[in-house]
Amino acid sequence: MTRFDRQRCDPPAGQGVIAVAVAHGDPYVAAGISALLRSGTDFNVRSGPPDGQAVDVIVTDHGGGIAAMSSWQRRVDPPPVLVVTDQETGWQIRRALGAGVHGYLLQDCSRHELLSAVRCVAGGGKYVGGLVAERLLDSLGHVAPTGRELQVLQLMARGLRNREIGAALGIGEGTVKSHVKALLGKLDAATRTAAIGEAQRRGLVAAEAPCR
Amino acid sequence: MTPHARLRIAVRHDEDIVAAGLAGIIARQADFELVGHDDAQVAVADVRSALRLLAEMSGQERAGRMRVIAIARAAREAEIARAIDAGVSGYLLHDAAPDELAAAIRHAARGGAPHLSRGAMAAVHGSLPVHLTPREADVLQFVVQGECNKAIARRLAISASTVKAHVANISGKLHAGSRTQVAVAATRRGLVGVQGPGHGVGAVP
Repeated sequence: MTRFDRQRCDPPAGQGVIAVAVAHGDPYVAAGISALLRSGTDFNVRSGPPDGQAVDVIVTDHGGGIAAMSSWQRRVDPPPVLVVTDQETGWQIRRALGAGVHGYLLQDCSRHELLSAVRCVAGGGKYVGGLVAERLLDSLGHVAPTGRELQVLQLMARGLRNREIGAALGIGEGTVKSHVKALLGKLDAATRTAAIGEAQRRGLVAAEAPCR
Repeated sequence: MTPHARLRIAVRHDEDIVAAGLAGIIARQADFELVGHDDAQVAVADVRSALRLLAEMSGQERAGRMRVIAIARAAREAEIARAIDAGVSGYLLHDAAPDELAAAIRHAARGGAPHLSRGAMAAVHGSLPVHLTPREADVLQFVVQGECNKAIARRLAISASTVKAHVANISGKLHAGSRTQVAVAATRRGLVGVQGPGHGVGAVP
């Protein structure tokens, strides 16, 4: 468990309750977060997005966190956002923290850690779980692919050949080839398939068909 | 069971948050009662726990047995098939709304055929089951890891041309046009143990 500001994460000493909005896309996770927070005495839990009402913290999923940060860029005093997710790859963590979310917690965390994280973020602190910090540090050594390389990578991960990738992106096969070569280097992989495996581990491409 | 008795349901999930969510959803149903799994008629569990519960009951008569519903994060055809073979009464992804979960529990308690949620159904439909020989399965494992034929041949102590023939057969069975497509299809369908972190059966804890 990693905390940037220990004091702010401790249970409140008599101050008011924390107003939490839980807006999570996974129905079981949403119900679970609400139930666990309600079992703590210092939370006032609301389901769904805050809809203009004042809350101290919003607990959401990965996509929700990134969307919230981009839509609130112009708001004066937006509530802090805690992401609870099963996305545990370095790239996904960097995307969310880069967008400006205040906390990042993995879904398999304990009740205790969830409550600490919500208190911490609601109190103005930042919070990342232990494994999250580790993945983040690991990913700092990785060179990010360019936008074009990412496009090539997505198609490559679907099993397309260079010629087909070229046709899909409107570029020549030779250009695709050099993008693939650059990707193999950045992913430290000897073969195309090994590169896809490593890209999935880093979270650059989805590891599987999404369940929704 | 008397007509007005409530259904006794146990929850087993390796994630605190999901366990609390499932318990909360079940507790809201007037005809459900949360109990420990020793006394339950239906257990709702993550895939690994579901398989373990079913294995523990393998000696018992099917009629009086506790029914088990598996809750999975990812839809992989081979994992779903394995769970159904093991005797699950339902396979729900996180796409199933609370009402569907409650309906699946009642259906399981009545002894109905396994209920699959929409995403799980989509994963098993539209593709015939793939039967690989044990040797093909060995080769596939290495193909997915990105090994070339020569390296695979060395590891399995067979010739490169034999590996090539295996790969061609696997491609045919998976309707894949290239080596990479073989790896993509095999991973998506759950035919190999290698998978993204934190998902499904046998994943890292």
